[in-house]
Amino acid sequence: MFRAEPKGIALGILSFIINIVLFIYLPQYILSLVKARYPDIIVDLDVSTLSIIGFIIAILSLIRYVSEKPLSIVVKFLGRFSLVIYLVYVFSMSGFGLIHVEYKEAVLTLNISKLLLIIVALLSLSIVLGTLADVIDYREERKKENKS
Amino acid sequence: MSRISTILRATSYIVNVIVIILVATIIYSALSIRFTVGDTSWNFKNNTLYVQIPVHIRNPGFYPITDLSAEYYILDDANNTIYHGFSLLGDIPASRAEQVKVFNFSGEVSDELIEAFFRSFNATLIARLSLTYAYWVDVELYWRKIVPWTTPIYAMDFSPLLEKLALYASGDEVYAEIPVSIRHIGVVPIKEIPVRIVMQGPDINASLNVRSSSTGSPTKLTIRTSKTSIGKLLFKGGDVKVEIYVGDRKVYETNIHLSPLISVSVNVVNTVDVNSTHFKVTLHYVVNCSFRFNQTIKACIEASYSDFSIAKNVTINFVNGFAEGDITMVALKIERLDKVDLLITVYEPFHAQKHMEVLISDVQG
Repeated sequence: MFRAEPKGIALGILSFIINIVLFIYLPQYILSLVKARYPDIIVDLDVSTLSIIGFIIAILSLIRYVSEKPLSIVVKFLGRFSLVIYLVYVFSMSGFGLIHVEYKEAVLTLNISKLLLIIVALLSLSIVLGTLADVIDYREERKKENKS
Repeated sequence: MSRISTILRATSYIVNVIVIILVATIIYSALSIRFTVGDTSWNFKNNTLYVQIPVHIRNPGFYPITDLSAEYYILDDANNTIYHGFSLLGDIPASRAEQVKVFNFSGEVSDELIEAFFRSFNATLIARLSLTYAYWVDVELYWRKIVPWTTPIYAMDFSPLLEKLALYASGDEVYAEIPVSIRHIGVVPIKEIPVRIVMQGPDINASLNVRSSSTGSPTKLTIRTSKTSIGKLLFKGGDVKVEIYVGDRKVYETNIHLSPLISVSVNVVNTVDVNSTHFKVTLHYVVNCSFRFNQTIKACIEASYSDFSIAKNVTINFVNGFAEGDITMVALKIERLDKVDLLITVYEPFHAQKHMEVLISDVQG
């Protein structure tokens, strides 16, 4: 189920670090930059919950590279779907697809629920198609192995 | 890898690329939009407040702005909406050129807003802008600001205006013209507010529609009254009530006291014994008007003392509201004459009477 190849472990650790930076450190850094630039701004975003989802994505990416098929296919699927959940979560803090920004006397509300639905649908389609391709490849590999 | 899995994987990549391009172009286009708000114009006409806000819009991106609309609210201290206007701008296609659109708000003016024109409070101004961008993104911008709404009308001071009052008679009626200028200030720079001035006094009932503006619009309030009424004012003065209305709502009221418009002084110039039975007295009169007046009036000066009575018709020529002259009256000689009751009666153009006493000492028999 798991493989202890140096290349897989290195890729897994690299992927883990990239995902941690990308989904935990970077959003926090951008938020702190925005708050430093505009002290009066209020952005509804729960960073701790976001960090947990980001950590799950990073763990799944690590497992993906150190596991064997079919587990790696399942983990890859889950990892990609976690990404979609991450995306949806970011834009669901004050209602699905509502971005609420207050600055001094102005309040900006962006309702991107329709756009978000389209993006989530397209990403889900892409994930399903990619996973299907992985499953078909895996089945063909298994058939070849059985024949040999 | 089978052919099917290759097709599926390629489709997956294409979908990913579409998502990335879609998101990147929307973000890029949205960030390149520029809104600049021009000078707001306020107009008040037929009980409706029209607010025009020009906006310069640059939408150089890839997507149009649709369903652009705006709402404008003015709230008073108690958060009651005293004005609400709505304006629909429609669509703004994606274009490199700057487009100028004008938000035209129009809303019926409530009694509360009319009252608000003339009192001081903290006004809450709220603007709400709604639009749809790139077909799928709904945007709402809410802006709220509390500003002090300063007392927007300058109380009219009639005392200097009365000095410029002009009187003229026509038939049995007398017309008085008073220059009037009302101006208002306020956080909302409404160009003009139509107001009605009503002036009521002793037999005076005048009304004038005038426009209050930030600079003041000089006009003339014409009072039409009878000769008798204006005659009372000429020598006695009186209290006049002035009210200002916007629509049917009274927004300002003041009482002004009019001093006598004409003052008369009479001095004895000379008393001469003509013979044992008659004497002659010469009176010098000075008449001042507190209003603009160049006219000839016909008057009668009547002197009386006990059974002594004599009347003389005079013509008084006013130049710049001032007239003076002498009048000589001859009467039967009486034993002792301390003072004489004088009655000055103005016949034309105004009917007015004034009683006064003139001291004539040491008239010897």
